[in-house]
Amino acid sequence: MIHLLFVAGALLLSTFSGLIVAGELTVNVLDASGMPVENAVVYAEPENKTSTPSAPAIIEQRGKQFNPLVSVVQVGTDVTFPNFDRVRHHVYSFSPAKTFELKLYSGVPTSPVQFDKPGTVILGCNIHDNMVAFIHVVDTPHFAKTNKLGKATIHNLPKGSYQLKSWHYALANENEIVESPIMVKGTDLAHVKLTLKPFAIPARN
Amino acid sequence: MLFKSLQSRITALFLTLILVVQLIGFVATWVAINKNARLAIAEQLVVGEEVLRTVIARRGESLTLSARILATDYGFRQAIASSDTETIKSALENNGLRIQSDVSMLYSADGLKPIVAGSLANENVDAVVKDLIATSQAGGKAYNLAVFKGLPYQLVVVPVKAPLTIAWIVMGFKIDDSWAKSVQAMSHLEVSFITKDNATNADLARQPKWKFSSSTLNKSSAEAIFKNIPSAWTQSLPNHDLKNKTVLSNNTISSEINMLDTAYSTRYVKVLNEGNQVLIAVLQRSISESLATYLSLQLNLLVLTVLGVVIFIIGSIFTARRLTKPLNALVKTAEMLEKGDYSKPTQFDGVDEIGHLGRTFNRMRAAISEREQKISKLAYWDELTQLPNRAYFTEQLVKFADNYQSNQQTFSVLMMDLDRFKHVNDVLGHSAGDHLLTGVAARLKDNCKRENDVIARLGGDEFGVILANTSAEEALDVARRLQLALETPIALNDSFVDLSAGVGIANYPEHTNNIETLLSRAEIAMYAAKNSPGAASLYHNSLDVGHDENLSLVSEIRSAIEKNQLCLHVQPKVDFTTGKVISAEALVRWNHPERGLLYPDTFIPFAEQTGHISKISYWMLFEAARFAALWQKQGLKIPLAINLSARDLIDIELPNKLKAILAEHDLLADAISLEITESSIMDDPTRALETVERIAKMGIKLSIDDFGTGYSSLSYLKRLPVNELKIDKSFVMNIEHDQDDVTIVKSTIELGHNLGLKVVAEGIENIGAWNILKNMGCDYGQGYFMSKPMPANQFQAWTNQWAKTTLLATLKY
Repeated sequence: MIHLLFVAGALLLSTFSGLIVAGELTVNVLDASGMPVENAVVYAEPENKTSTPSAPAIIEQRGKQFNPLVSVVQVGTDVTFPNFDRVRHHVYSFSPAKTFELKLYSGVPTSPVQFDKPGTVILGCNIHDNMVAFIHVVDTPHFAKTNKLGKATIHNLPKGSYQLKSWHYALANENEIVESPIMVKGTDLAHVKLTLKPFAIPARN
Repeated sequence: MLFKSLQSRITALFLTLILVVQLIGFVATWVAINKNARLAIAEQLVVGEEVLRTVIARRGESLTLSARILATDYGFRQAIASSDTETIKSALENNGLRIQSDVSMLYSADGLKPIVAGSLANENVDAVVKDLIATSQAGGKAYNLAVFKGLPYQLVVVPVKAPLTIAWIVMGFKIDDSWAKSVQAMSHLEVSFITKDNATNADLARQPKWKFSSSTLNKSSAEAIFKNIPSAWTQSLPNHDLKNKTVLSNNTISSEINMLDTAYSTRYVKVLNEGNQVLIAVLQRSISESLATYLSLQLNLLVLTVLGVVIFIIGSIFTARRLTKPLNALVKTAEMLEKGDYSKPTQFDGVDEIGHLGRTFNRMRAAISEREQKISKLAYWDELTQLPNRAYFTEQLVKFADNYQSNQQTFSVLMMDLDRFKHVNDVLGHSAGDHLLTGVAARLKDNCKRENDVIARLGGDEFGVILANTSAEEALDVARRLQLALETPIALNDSFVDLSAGVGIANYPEHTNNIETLLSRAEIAMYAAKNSPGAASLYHNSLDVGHDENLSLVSEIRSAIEKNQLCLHVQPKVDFTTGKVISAEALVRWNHPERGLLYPDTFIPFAEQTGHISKISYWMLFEAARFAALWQKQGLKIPLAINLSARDLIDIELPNKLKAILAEHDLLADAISLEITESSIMDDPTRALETVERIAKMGIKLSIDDFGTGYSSLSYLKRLPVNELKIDKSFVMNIEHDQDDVTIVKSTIELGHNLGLKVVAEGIENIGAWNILKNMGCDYGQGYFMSKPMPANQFQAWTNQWAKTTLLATLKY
């Protein structure tokens, strides 16, 4: 449902920008062995950065898991962490991009957390070691996340030149951002190859 | 032989057996105990190794747990996330103190570099930690052993997660004596940890230097332990693949080593083998200590063994006694049986085989005793006459002789032989003979009723009586009484048989004090008595060829002929009717060089007994023929009559010998005649008759000598080819005074004449007898009245003189 909301938001955006330019980029992400990579974040940074905070994002805790596992938000986005479990959670992040903690709570926290710096934020729960989630904070409104087929489509992308960046939590070099320049002319297709390391995400329900 | 008796042999056998069995048992137990102890120790060592590994694992896990507590500490994680090194360090130290770890370090998330190095700033540490983190990340165990500066440690690595791994906590414990003690507490083994000195020097690597890092043993044991480390382990070979089981098994070696004079089963366990990092755990158990628990068992066994041996000795001696006691009793009984003592049965109570044997033995003893009584009765008893036999008789004689030594009572032996018994047997049959013997026995019993007298049948028709306390003369009376008793005829098969017996008497000690001699002398006397029917005779030396005096005669008879000591005498027979000498009887005399002239009755009986009689007879025949021939040449034709013995008559060569003698002297058969007695024929009537008939056929005349004394059978007389009867002188000598004799002689003359025989009367001593006989019609006479026997060479002269004597004249011829 949240996904649907997010999609609805994206459609709204594209409707607005589509009035000006029409463009769309589909990125196909594969790993070194040519297998599609899911949950990879792809985003296009224009030469002139515009900071328009995106709609607030939600990362829910349900069944002692963060959902979604990977989120991508624009800088300055507020993220709320509603707790649907009957147990309380202590959400924290020691990541430099955003260090915070939401001490033991249940239900929806009073205020959302604003992610004001680009970078990767690893979320954990202090009392549930298995809970992990990633928020990649990007400084652009043009971003998407690959599906199971390794495909992600950035809609309403105005024509022009961009730096296409890709990130995945299992990147062999975790501090590296894979990027390449790209010209968006309309409906474009890009291929990205990521080198991933074996990464054990704790079992998810 | 060492063990002579059954008892000692049984005892020795049992003892040897039990000793062997016990020894084998003892040795087997000892071997088993030793083997068991070693097996148990080996098992203990295996268990010990398990314990060791468990202790390592448990300590590793508990250390991990401690480290994990720190790793989850929010503040600590925050400090790491914010790279607050000082806070991290102090948190590590604090935690180290809390769990008493010797090493506390923090490594980067990739495990490559230390964030906080702690007390061990060593290159080796990074490598070891890196490997350990890699193993842990790969899901392996998060703890391992390591050797730093020659000291063994157990290291654990724990990731710090936020929530992804942001760092690694590395904590370490020294493996010290507390480890050894805790393993010992659980396994009861001696535990030592040895490290290889981390020498970089190549020489040292080849010759590794071992270090005793911790132990439950004294340090002095180290040398022995080092020395026995398997040589393969002393090479510094990297062992990358610890998970390989075969290699793992190569990491354990058991051996037995001696430390301070004590044998230890030792298990070397290589718990760490990574390049130069080598840690060996040595698990040991003293064998003697382990055996000590068995020692009391062994001691008990020894006591049992000794006890068993003692019981066995006692038992085997008892058993052997039980076996041998009845055996000895049997031996004693057997010895008694051997001596002929059947009186005492030996008691045998046992229900076993030996008891059975003993009782069988007793029954055998009884059976033998009974049979012996039967046999001895048979041996001493004559069933036919119901009298004791000769054996009993002889034994009684011995008893009488023995008694004589004490009571000086003389005793006499009567020996009696029935006349003509053989004849009765032959004519009337053996059952008649048996009846006769029974009858005689009954009469003897009736007439010898004194308690101490012994009557016995000595064999055949011979009886013997021992007369107790009886002199020879008294015995003679008894003998006559017995003979009188026998005179009554005995009825046999409807006919009556006249009985008579020759009785000989010998007295003890008058005649001899030797039992055998006594018997033989009584027998000699008996034979002497038989020559005069109805008589009883006392023994006299002259009767006995066996008597000393006579013995020399017997031996001299042989040479008497050769030495020409015999000489021929003759006694004329005169015709009653003419008064002329019609023939003469040849008689032998022995001109003994020392004893002078011996008459035939002194030596002829012996000659008959010894067989010399044949030679004497032959000599007589030869001499008679010689004289007959001599006289014929001088115109004196008088036949010479020669006496023949029974032995001569059974000589089938006799007729031929006669023929030869007559031929040699150129004589006719009528030049000699022969005189035989009835008894001489009776010895073997068949052969004697045959001989006599052959002689008669030769034309030689035969006379029956001593007629009336023997048991003449008229049937024989009828069959005998004789020409003449000679009435015995016993009938003739008293003819003048005894009417019976007159009757007998008269009847005999009539009998002879009726049978066509000439009758000769012997023993005419005076003219009265002569006249009586002449009147009776007797044909010829012989006796002292006409002439005594004279040497043959004087006979011719005597005949001449006889013809002219006044005697002849007085006889009115």
